[in-house]
Amino acid sequence: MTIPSLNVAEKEQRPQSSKSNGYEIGPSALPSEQKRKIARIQTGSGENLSCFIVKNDNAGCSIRIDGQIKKPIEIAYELNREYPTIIDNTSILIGKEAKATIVQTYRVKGEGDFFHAGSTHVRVGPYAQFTLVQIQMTDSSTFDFQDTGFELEEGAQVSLIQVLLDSQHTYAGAKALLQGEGSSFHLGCIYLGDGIRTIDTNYVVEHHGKKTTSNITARGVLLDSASKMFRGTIDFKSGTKGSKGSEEEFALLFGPSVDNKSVPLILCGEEDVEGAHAVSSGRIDANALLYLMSRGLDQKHSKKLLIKGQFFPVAKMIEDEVLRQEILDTIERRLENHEY
Amino acid sequence: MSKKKTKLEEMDFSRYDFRNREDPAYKVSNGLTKEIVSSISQEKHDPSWMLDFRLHCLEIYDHLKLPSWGPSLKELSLDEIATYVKPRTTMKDSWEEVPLQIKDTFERLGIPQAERESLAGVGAQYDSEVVYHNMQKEVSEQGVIYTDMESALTEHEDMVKKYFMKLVPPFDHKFAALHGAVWSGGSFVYVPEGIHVKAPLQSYFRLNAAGAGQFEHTLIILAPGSSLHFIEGCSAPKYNVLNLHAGCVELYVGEGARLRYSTIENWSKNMMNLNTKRAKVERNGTIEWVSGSFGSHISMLYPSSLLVGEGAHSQYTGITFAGKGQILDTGAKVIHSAPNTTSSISTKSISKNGGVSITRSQVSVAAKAFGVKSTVSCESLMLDSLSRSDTIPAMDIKNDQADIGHEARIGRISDQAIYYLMTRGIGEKDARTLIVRGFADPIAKELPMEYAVEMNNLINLEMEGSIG
Repeated sequence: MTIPSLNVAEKEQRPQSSKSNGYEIGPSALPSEQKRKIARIQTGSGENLSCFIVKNDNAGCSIRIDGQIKKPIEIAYELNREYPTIIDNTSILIGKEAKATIVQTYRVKGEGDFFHAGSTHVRVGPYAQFTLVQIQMTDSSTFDFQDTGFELEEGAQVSLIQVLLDSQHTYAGAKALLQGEGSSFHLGCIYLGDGIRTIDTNYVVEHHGKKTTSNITARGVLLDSASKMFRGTIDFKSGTKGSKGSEEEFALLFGPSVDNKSVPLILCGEEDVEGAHAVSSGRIDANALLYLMSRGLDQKHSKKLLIKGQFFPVAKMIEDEVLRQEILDTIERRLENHEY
Repeated sequence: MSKKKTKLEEMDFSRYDFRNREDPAYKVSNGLTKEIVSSISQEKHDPSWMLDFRLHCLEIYDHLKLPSWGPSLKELSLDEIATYVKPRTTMKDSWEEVPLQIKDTFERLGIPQAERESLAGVGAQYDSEVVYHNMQKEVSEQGVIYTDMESALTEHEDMVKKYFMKLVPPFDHKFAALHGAVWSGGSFVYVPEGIHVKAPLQSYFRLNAAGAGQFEHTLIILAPGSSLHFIEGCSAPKYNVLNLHAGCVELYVGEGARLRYSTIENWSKNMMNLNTKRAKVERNGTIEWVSGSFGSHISMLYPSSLLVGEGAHSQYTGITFAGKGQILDTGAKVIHSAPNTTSSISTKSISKNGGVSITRSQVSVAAKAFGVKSTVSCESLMLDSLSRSDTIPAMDIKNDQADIGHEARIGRISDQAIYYLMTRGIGEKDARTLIVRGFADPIAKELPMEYAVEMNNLINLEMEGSIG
């Protein structure tokens, strides 16, 4: 793997500094010591990738949110001929009782070989609500590493939505430490692999505090000779009484040469918890197909509806209607060229 | 008034924890060397190819590393294990001829009684050799062969040579290689085409010597259209030194044949149980694994099924009970290599008082294995926060025409379920008993009645206190 234009330090993509009621973006948003602590939050893909990103970053920013921010904050990156490599390192602090949504989008313009590696570290304060949406709509010439880590304090609620659609090779990870009592973490991932695309994910949730809850949901479609590895870990540490964790993965497979791997773990060192996981993979449910066709839809449209429906439970977590529709349109466009 | 939690007593191993004075006819010194392996082979009058095989396995053993996953095996040192202990008797076909001390051992374990009441044949192994082997005359007249491995090596050498350690080759892992080097005892079964053995055959393995290993080999070959239920049991008294069990089970299920392989494992808590079991199933054949793991200090046990013929089926039902001082790492694997094969894996585990239960499963579907259906279900019950319960499933599917489903749950005894039963007029104590026994019931009902009772006796339940 050759990383194009890695050492072009002056070609940086960093959001403009901004300060408003309730939030600040830019180098001064976080004091150095706090930024260092947040940067050490563990992520899903591990220390090696984190170190690589910190050492080579040419994008990313520090963000501090203290208030209730109604509109999502979008951080948009574009890979193009001038910026073929983006390595973004982002630190986010969500203050006590704050509320915000941040959307990170990665798009490609033009042709070429592109490389993206991103690491986002987030500390979420007591009773704060935070949603992070990461959308990858690049193209088939891209290597993409998307890594995230969270630490949640008491009562914090976090949602992470990852949309993995286009890169040739995608490596996505997330890790959440539910330290505070009553904190909750919900992760939704949708993926679409066709051709010879590869998708490799690693999601870890550690329950430390009491009465914490988590849910990991991954839904996707594999076609042609695409391959996917889903790793999910719910880890109940001793002392996390009253906690609940679940993970589920549903994969639709259309392609004689797909390679579909799933490893959903539950690790438990505490008696008073509830843990569950469910995985299923296969083709479209024949009964559901028959039902739609009995309602007058032809087979092709019925299948399309059911396949698109695979993504809805996670897609609807994205509040921005325009963005949600863009994602569903991208999926539809990609499915057009395939038989299923 | 303070609430008392539902209490589950420790497993009662007392009926197994008796020991005889050690009086072996021959015992190798501790350790693992070329000389020890050669002396075992000489003592057993192996043919020359088996001696060569053992020495080759020893080379592989020395070359391979310990597994990099699973429970730590650092406590185990082959320098402190005697790999061959020959009892002071030859194999008999009448209990009256078995030396009294050994016979009494098996009487206490209920083996002769079980043979009289419900079995088609029995093999009993004491330390490293089979001391008793017999089969009902009417079964042998059907052409069924059921004998110890050493006799099979002499009387059916070609068949043994064809199949021995081909399904579990010595390079599979370090303890497969160890087994190949020092194996002794075990059973050989051949069921001819179309023959259905109505009553089960049973082999029982008793390890009496302290600081010793047992490495029995079980080889079962079912010709097309035949069927058999084979039961294995095992136990040992508890010592303060480690014992090692690294047996090997190889099962060949022919076209349209059906084999049920049931195991109740009651090794003492000083035992390292590193057993390997594998079945190869041909077209429309069926393998059913029924497994109860209650003993051992550390267990690593994953019965595997290779479904190589179209329409083959594998079913695994297992329960694990991990108590104080135990790390039981168990599970099942299924490799779907042919079209329209099906499998199900159902596991239950209970852990308490610091016990660690790790349940693994693997379902692999090859690229050309179209039309596969497989379900995996894992349920874990934790009875306190001293214990651990980990579920580690893996699915690897290489085509788009396989329907695979997996589910797992972990938790404690449901207060709601107890309350519901009480609203139906069932007393609190009976309600708890019903629920906990019901947890193990899917396994118990797969066993012949005597063994289901045995299993329930192993789980002594004492319910007290209020809900939860």
